[in-house]
Amino acid sequence: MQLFSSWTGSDFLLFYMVLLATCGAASWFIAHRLRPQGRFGESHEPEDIALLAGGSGRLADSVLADLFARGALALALGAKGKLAVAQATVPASPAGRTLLAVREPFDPDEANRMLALHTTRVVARLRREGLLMRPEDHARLRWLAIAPFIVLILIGLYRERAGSALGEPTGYLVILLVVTALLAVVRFVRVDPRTAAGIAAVNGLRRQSARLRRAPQPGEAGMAVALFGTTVLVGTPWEPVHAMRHPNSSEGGTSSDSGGSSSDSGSGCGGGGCGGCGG
Amino acid sequence: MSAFDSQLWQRIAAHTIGPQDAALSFSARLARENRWSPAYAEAVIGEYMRFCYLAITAGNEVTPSDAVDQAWHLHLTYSRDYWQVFCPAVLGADLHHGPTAGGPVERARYYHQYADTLAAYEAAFGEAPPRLIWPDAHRRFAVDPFGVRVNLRNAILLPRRVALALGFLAFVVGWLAGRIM
Repeated sequence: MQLFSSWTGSDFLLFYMVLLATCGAASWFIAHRLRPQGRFGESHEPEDIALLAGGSGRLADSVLADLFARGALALALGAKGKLAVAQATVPASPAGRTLLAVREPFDPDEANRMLALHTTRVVARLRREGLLMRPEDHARLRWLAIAPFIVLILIGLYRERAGSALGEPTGYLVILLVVTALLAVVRFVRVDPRTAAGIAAVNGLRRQSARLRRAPQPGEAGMAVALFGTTVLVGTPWEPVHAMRHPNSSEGGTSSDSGGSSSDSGSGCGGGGCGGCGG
Repeated sequence: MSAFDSQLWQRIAAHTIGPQDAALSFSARLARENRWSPAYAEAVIGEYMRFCYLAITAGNEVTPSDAVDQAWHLHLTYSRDYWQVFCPAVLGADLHHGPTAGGPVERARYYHQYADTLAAYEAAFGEAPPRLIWPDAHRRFAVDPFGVRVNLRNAILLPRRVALALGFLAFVVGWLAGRIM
């Protein structure tokens, strides 16, 4: 007896699409439930958090934002879209010192490449701390996450072969099989490499640091970008770092100079030197 | 000691702006002039009070959000209350309002002050400022300054999305009418 032999083509396509949706949910559920717990530590270095929250590109952005906000980097004169070292003596992390040692102007992608070795070290440290999965655990979770899609593809291939043997049209089914295969590849590539503890660490810090998303201080720019990406720099004096990453972004353009007023409290300034604030 | 336990905060929290028996209270006027709900206007006044606390205690100049600034502007127009009661008896110091002189240097200065104000708020009150009243820097310095005073007896206001949708709809209807006729 052949499976699905009594089903029409359209019946099977409908069944297949329901299964495809089920497979998507099952894939998410598997990755969620079978993710290693890891260890809930106290890794709050901006570079660690940047890599956990956004990968190696985010780590480079975080370092650039930190150095730019503290005046160590500035826009390169005569080299559009590039940064140059302005003050090499500013205290910096090992990754920051790597960039401060560069003599030529560089863009964020070049910075990312220059920090590759450092990124590898951070990845190794996060794996030791239980915030990133070990490679074998990550590979296992990837295969488990796409297992439902593989089963579905096998079912679809079986039906396609049977339909072809009977001379039935199978074009729509082939399209669905290709879509399923593409979804499986995307899912395989995008399975989150973090442990449950790593995800919780980032989410917890995001909740605690909501203020950084609105207006970080210069010393907080690195952590703000680590947690939320360069978008948090829009509207700040360090927006050029965001513009380099997103040159066509519709955000930004904070050229308005009419938006401020401030207080001048006599008691708060000390020494009586606060006159002339206007009003 | 938290900000809430300080005598300064107790005095600020106990202060009512404007005559209590006025038909149009300070809160109602603030809501009317900004087309805010009464509840939102009350919330803004609460944040203005916190801002005033920070202005006295932060040790540096502080910059309000646009909403808090509107409350401050209106309070300044209640000049007897502001200069003869609020500043001397409640704050214990003159609190001057200083608008920006314009230009990129001032722009950066006000950003830093705004960021410092949010940090001081969090340190003093143990929580982040409410996002609806203290927005992000982009909103504060690139969007909110475009607010203008409009008399609704003379103009019709539409949200930009609605206006664009209506324009698109008119274009489609016109095109279809041209095809049919």
